[in-house]
Amino acid sequence: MKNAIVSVSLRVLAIGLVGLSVGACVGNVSGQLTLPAEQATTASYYVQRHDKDSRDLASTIAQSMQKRGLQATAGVESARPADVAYVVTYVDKWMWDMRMYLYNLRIDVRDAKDMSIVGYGESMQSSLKAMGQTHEDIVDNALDKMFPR
Amino acid sequence: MNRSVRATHISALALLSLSLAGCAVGNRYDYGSSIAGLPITGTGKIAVSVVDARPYVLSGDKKPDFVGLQRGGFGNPFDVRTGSGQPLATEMRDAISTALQKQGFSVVAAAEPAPRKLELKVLEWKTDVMMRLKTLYDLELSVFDGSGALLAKSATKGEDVGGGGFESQNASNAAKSFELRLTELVRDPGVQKALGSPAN
Repeated sequence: MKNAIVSVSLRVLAIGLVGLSVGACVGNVSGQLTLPAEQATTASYYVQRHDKDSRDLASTIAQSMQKRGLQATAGVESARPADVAYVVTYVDKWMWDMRMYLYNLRIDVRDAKDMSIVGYGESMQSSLKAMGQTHEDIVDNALDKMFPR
Repeated sequence: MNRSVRATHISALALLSLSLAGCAVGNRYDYGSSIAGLPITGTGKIAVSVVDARPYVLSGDKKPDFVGLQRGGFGNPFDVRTGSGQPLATEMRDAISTALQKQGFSVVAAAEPAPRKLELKVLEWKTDVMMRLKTLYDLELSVFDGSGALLAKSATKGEDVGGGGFESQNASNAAKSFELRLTELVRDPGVQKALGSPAN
């Protein structure tokens, strides 16, 4: 009887450990851009920094876009240039697991005229998956879906 | 002995099922505030309606608040419903109406007379989540004049596949897919022309 109980317990433990290890390393990237490629590469973008962003992710996003050859600047909403074609907004969710890590970053691209959406990119990563990744890496992951390098 | 082993088995299976299905049961996605802006402006009166023509809803297999499936650890499906508990068509209409009002239009009920009527026919809208989030869609947007004559029509059909996550992330991505698809339909030149003319 003892053996049977031990056997069942070990099986459950093994399944649990496999589940945990699979679940702990979760991450995914999604997104798309509906703009024609030529329009996307020649347009001007303004990354709008939100009030609670103490890390200035807006500048990181703009720099990553510039590295892709795009015309991008960053700043607060009130400083947005009137002639910019698209506004880039983002939602960053941070979590604590022995350090703060960027759990989810969602970047939206909207038409500056009416704020209608033209594309989005998102990168979600668990604590383990985020290990060794910088904010820049995660910004790159999210942008890759819209503006491939 | 047997009883003890059986009890352990049952407890283990129950725990396993709970852990695998825990995040899959009772998920809700809100579409009612999914559209931040639309590529059209105007000041005219417009009637808006959304028709749920999904075959499994029409046949009664699924309720009108059904929006998709969330799968448990074995791929076992659980229904996902609208955030408000209202039919999907109602939430979509709320989203479209709010967005049109923001763009300057005066939105009235579908039955009310108006120089323009916007009708979204939902032939398919369903998300399916396990490790990935798949959104299946088949949408038709029609613009009619005050007498009911068709002025313009645009359609989109396909599937969006993205990463699956927890409920809030999936809900946000599903809503974003709807915003993106509806915007694509409204951006159609024929629809733009038909919607723009009565307002100006």
